[in-house]
Amino acid sequence: MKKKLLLIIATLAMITTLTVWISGCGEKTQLDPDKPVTLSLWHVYGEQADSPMNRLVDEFNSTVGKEKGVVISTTLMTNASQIGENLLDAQAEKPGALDMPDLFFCHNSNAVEIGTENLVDWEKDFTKDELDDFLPDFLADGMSDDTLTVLPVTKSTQLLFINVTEFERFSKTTKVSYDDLATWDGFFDVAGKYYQWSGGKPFCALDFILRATDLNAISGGASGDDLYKNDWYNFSNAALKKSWMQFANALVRGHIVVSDLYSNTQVMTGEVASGMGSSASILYYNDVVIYPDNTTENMDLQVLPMPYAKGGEKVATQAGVGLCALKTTAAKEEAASLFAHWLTEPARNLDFAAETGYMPVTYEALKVVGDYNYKNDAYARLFAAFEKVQDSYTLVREPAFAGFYGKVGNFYTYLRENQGNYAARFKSGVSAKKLTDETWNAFRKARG
Amino acid sequence: MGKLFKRIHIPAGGSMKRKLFLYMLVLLIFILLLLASLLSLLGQFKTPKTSLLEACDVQQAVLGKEIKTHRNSLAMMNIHFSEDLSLSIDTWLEKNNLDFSALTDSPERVESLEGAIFETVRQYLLQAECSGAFVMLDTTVKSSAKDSEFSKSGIYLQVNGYEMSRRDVLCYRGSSTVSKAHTVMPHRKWRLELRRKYFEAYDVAKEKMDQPLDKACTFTDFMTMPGMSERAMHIVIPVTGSDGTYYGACGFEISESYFQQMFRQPARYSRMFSLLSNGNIDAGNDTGGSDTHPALQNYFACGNTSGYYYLPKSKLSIIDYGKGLTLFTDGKESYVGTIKTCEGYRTKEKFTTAVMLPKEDLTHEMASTGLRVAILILLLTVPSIICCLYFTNRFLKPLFYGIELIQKGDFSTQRSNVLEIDDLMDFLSQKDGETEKKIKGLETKIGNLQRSRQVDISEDDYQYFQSNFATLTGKEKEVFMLYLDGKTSKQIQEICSISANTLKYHNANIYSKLGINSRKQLLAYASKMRDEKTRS
Repeated sequence: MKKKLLLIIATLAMITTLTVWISGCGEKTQLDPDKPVTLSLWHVYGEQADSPMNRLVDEFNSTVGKEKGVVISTTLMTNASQIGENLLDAQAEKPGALDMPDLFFCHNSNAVEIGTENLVDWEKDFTKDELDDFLPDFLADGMSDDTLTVLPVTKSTQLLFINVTEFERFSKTTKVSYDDLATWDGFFDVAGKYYQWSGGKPFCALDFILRATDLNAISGGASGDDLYKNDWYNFSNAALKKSWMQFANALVRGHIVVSDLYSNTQVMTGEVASGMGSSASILYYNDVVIYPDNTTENMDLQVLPMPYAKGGEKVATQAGVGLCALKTTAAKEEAASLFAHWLTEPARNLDFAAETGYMPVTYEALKVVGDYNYKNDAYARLFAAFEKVQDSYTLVREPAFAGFYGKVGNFYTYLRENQGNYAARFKSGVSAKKLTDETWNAFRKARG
Repeated sequence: MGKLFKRIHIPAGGSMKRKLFLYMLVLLIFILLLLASLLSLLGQFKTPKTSLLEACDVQQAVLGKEIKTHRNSLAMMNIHFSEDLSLSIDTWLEKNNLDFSALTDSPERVESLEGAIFETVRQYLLQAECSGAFVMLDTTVKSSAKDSEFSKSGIYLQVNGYEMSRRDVLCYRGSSTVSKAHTVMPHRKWRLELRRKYFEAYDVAKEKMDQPLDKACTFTDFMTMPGMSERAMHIVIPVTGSDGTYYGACGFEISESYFQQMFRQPARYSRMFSLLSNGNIDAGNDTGGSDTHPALQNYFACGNTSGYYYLPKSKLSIIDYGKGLTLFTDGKESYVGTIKTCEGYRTKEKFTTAVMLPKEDLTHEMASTGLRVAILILLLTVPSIICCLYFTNRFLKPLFYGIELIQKGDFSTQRSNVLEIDDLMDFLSQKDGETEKKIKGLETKIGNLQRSRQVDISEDDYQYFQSNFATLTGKEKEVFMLYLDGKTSKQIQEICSISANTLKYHNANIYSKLGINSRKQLLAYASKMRDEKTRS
């Protein structure tokens, strides 16, 4: 009887073992190293230049990707705005448009335009513990319709990049200092002095003048929510108008300009002494400034936080695209999740952020930002500015309304086309008041 | 076919089961051979190596032709580009009443000339199938600068992204003022002039400045673009004035990204990719080790249209892999495919294409093909065995049952359900009935005969016969028994070794003692006596 019982138990144990073995120890994976899943990727890291993201993709493909059966293929490397446009074209299957990518970096507003229902919800792929390691503000930036569709991989803010060689020449004569650039009032004052000192050159090229306007207003005490209405600006908001007029005043006088495309190229050609743009633009700065006669001089880049309203709160923008994955097949979604996890591992996240000029997104990586061995002084200054922002500034999320940035882009195009004309008219005697009013009216009329 | 079966020797005298099994086995082998022949005839029965070779050959042919066509088109465009630039520069010099050498150290004049030729460069960039277009002028705006002999003025425009609907142009090198005036923004890694040490195209073109343009077109090797991680090759041609003055070089850029995007091929294998090398295959040496074999060491890669792309990171040794295939290995990773060196149309410059896939994919394919063949054989064998068992059950078993019934002689009560066996049983049953009938007839006849004999035998005579039987002598009894056995007189004489007269003497004694007078009567009495003994 005992023998019979033992035999039954042994048989049951064997069947259980076999079942567990066949079902892969309970883990069902859609990935097969012999039949790798290829995911196309659109990203923004290193457009027109060296790409740290492409190097990471290579590393992933030759290690974890190879082991698990995932191949990431970069099919587009451009800026966030172009990615937004390309996504809509691809989704609409416009003639000549690229195929819709499996993975892409974009703004939350782009994700909303594509449709949250078409994107993977990262909250289903990351455990609560894993998500708890991300900064909550960064995660909130990627939420739409209560779904985490845009996974923060890196975050940026806007900073002021200054050509030290030029600024030191200028400060020697005018006695201005970097401290003068701490507030917007000081910034505009310095810009005016530089214009005079340089014989009519603008001091700074701004990539995102409207965002600077927002931050100035918020810093001066305005509520961020009140600045917008019906997915666009609230033009009846007095703080918005006041802030814009400050920028418009400097713009029509030629003290500042809206950058032609990227402020860094205008700093590199010696057209301006500084550029205000994304922290990530450090990747694109050359070491030197080259003047039209091919005179070359070292730039020795200084990086400062954005100015704030005098006596106001220190606020900085929290920008940067995040990773989205298109809902396709179960295997592709698993592959996307694998890549996303790999990319946001704290050590890798820090390395990548340090190389691209972004802020890491996990507590663990942020803790050691200050101790990192940066590749040059400019990068060290950039991360020192980051630390300053982290320590004493309030980060403000960017608007994520569908169609918002199309209208912003149109207004920038208008300003680029007309800013030279404004400066010329001001020089010829037209009052600054009249010209700034014109810009305000143009701002009000801007449409997508 | 009949002959074939005749040749197959099935041992005679075997059991039906054995014979059927052997015939079925022969049939199965025949079907397998037929299937293999048909698949082979239709081209479906190929080894993975043969299939890979065919796929690589097709891809090589398509890629090679596309590259040749592309190069021919670029060479032709480049000739026109050079001619148009030459004309534009001549016109500008004439208009400004300047000699080309007057450009040196004059940023204003260079800027003016760049303004005059900017649209030409942009138009050729947008018309040609390329990622960039450039003109390097044989001048510099600052000859007093350090290493100024390596610095050349000019315009270098690049396409930003390769979407057909959006071909933005960026100014990689050249005056930013001029480019902005033409609504072209400076590249992120913009510089004013081109450095000769980074753009070998300039020196290549200068060497060919005296050659006719259709022979002066040159494709350079791949180089990493300054400030970028992107690699590119250039097609370059000299630009000379109508008076023979060397103005510089112009040409087009094919970047790695452009090649990757524009030349990817549809492929049968998910991880198949192609490499392009401008003919610089390292020949290897005879010292042994990894350098023994020729190697590919500077190449572009393009993946396939399913999205797969891979660029091997180090130089690939080229080793013969048999059956027309080549093994490419960097010591860590191995790939299998084919390699081919082609000649361009117009330029006669060689380029090499290699089509390959990771070796483990081929190994996997071979294993899965083996598995498929095994499954196919199994799929044919198992149903055949099941069919054999079914046939045995449905055909042989009723036969055996019928035979058993026949052996038992039970023809009428049970049926075998086999028509022929049942007919045979009916036939045997019928024959059996007839035989029985005949036997019954004979028995009736014997009975009648016995009865008739019994009528002839007198009971008194028989009693006499019985009572006197014991009086016979030994010899007389022996003769009597031989008569009963049906022996003839002659046989009895021989058996008993007696003469005819002696036999007659014994006969006379037997007859007289038993009271009979003929042999017939003797036999009738003897038969009756034997019957009575049997019954008792």
